Amino acid sequence: MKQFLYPLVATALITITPFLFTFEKGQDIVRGLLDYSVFALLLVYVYVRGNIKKTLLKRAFMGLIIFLIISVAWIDLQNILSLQHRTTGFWGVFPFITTLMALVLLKSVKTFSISQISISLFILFALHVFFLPLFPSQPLVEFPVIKALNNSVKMVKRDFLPASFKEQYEIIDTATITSRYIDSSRSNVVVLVESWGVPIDDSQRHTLYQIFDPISTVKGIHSRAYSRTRTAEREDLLAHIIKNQKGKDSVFLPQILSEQQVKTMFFFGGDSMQQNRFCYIKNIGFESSSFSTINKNDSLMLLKMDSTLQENVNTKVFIAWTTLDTHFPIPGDVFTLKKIYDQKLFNTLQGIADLAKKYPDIRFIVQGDHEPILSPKSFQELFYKRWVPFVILN
Amino acid sequence: MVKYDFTFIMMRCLENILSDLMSVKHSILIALAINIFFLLLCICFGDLRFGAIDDYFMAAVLTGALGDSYNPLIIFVNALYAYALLPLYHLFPTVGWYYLGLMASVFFSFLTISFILLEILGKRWGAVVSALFVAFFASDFYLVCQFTQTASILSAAGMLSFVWASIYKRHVAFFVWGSFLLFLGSLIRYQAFLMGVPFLGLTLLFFIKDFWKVKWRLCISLVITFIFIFAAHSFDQKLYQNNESYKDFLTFQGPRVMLGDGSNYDPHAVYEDLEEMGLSGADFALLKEWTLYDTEVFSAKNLTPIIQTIQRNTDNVNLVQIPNAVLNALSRSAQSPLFWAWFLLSLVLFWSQKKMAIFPWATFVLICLLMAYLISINRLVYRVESGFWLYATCLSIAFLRPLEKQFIFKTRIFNKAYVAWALLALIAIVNIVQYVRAGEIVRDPSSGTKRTLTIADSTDYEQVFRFIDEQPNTVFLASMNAYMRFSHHRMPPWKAEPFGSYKNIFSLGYWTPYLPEVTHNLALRGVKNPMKEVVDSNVIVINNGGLTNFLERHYYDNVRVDTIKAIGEMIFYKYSLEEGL
Repeated sequence: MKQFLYPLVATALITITPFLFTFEKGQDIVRGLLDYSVFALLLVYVYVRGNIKKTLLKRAFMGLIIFLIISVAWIDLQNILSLQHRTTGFWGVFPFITTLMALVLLKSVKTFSISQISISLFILFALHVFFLPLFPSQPLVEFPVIKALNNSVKMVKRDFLPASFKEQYEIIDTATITSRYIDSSRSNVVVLVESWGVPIDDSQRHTLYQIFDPISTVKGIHSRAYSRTRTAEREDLLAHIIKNQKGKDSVFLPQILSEQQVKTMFFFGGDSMQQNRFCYIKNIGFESSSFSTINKNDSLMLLKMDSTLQENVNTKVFIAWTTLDTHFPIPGDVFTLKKIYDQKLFNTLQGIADLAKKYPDIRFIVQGDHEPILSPKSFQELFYKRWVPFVILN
Repeated sequence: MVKYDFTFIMMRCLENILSDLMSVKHSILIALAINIFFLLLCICFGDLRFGAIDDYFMAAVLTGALGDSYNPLIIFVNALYAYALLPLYHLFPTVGWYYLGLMASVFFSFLTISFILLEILGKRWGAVVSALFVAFFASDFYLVCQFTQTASILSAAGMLSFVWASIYKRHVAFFVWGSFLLFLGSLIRYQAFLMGVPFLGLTLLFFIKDFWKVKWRLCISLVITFIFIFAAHSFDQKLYQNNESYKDFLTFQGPRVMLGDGSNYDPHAVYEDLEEMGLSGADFALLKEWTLYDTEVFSAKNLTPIIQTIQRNTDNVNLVQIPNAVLNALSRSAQSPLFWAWFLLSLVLFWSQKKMAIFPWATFVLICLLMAYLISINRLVYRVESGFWLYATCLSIAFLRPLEKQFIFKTRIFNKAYVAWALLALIAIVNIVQYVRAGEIVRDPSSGTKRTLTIADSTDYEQVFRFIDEQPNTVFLASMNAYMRFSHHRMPPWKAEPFGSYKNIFSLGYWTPYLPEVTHNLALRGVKNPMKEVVDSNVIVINNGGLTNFLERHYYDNVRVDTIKAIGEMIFYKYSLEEGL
């Protein structure tokens, strides 16, 4: 039994040394004390050294084993460094040094039998799984290759915006854009752009905001609690919540504005049955709402908006419009789908920008209702989740 | 002359069997003693219940509790098992034969395993090891009696019997017995039997030399057994497929399984996608809570887009992440006593059977591969895992050799009979104390945590059932949770649920909706679509007062709900249409 001490110490040496030397204050890396595969390889190394007679074969085997040990130690080192966001640098010599030291340590160890190797590996694994639930923060055994494989899958981080965004955009962590930017001294148009998300890709994001460049006063990104159109249509127009005998009741902006003699209108290019709009649009308190039994595309709706604004040049209006062109599902594979989506979105945004240019006296509040959903996952992963762009024009 | 020959042969056969029986008499008696001891402990101090509510309702379907007479089509267990029990039910109609059948199956499986241990290890140490084995698992199998586990232990015992009889070239009766257990296991749960087949294959590979010597006996019995098993399975499937009255039930099963068991998808994304498609996210929330018995809104056809949305939002397991997932599953296995039984047996193999020492590693690799496969299709759960360890453990027994020949047992202390007696006494005392103290605490079959089977509940169920039974023409629609709780309070498992005891109780979820007898009993009370017709005067809903939004969304303008009675945690609601608004 005593002779197993040497391979155990040698394994611990290879496993722990790089961890100790790269240790950073405050790091939180859960790691085992013994590399399982290194331990197995060291045992086999000792076996080969003592049992194979032919020198050439023996050397080839031993060389291969040493190479494998160094590789595993290297992978293990990379696991640690990637958690610390460091590059290899001079740490790269560690696997070579520790492996060399381990081999020196094993110099005087007598050979093992196959069954001894098998039993010790078996027991080591069982001890590992036995103690793991008891001491979850300090596992006994480390599996570098399996861990490296597992970490090789990069999860797309879609939930959080990078810190650098704060310099480029107004970041707002709620969905109160309209009440925040509404200008009660003049007419307002609130456009909710269907499935307008924040692209993760920098150049695509810039292109979208550029459409509004000459007339935009604020460029921003804000968060949404849910990714659905109905929530977006309602939550943004919420003024406040009052408590009464019945419990809670919501007061919406159009209700307040109507009382102030502002003409409030809702536009949607589709049927009022779509997503049950006939139920809740009425409750938001619009004086009039305009639907269409056959779907009207956004360019038609823009013409309608234009004529409505023309008619009401002298009255204060509040118009909310939900676009339709970029509504999913869009058929086709991810490539064609993206092409269609980009084209349609660009057209709609360009149309809105042109309309805003035509009426410089009217405030335009343009925002996405949610990032693209209802589409293949690989397409959804091109956008931040629960974040949408907004621009304030004029 | 001919007659004489026949009797002569029969006599010789009987003599043969008898003399064989005499030679194993002691092993059988000791195995019986050990097993009866633990069975009695379980019966006296345990809480005798079904480990899974599915079993209770399968037994209830069989005894006609949901309909008006015996129905052998019990969904998850092969109808042949039910047919075999029917004569017993006709003779003694009040006895819960379904439950007794499962308990007897466990008993005979344990008996077989103990017997083989005794035969291999010799009487003294065989007794100690089998006592340990039964002590390890008696509570898990007798007190959490359920069909999946029972099927696994039956199949495992059957396979072991096969392998052992081949290696030791034992009497053909042991092959027949092994086939019988295996066949019965496949009847009780076909999938549990299938899970064991790779392990049987692996063992056959290891003993290929021994098996070659008995190849005809083995091949013929294996082939016949497998033919019987597959025939029985397809017979059972055909019973449903060729039965017009099960058509609605069968078409509904796909969506039901997906909604009920799928957990590897993002429910928020599904909700949002459905809303975006113009479907109701709130309906999806209802379905997820197993409120699904609406034959129009939630018809199999209408559920298709919802199922497709779920499939689109299902997390795909990345291939390179599977090894890590297997590793996590293996560490979870350390919670299960079966893993440690396998581990200890493997250690014994390592020390005593140097030649076969690769077998533990082979089973280990096989289990890892099976786990990897199940992880890749998102189907790995505790009870399946423990099934693997069970098969690995039972088949490892075939590799044991008489311990007396081992070095350690040649030492003086192990040579003494009283050491074995002392150990046996110790096992007995520890178990008696343990069962008296906490016999009703068992291991949860789906998570492995320790708990009692019945949920503590302040409800006076006698009052609940009296209220329900007093109104035979009223439809009582119970939430799935309430329906499942009834199972613990109506009849104990060893008694048969009488005809029609559930004739006016229906579940909003679970797997009972659309069963022909359920549809029939609803129709008798004038109900076609349960969830739509909750506003009818003779429908009362138990423990679901939140259907108003659903009803107003799909059917009516103004629905009101009143609480008409509350008994403990069971609340009776009456839905009605509000008029004049």
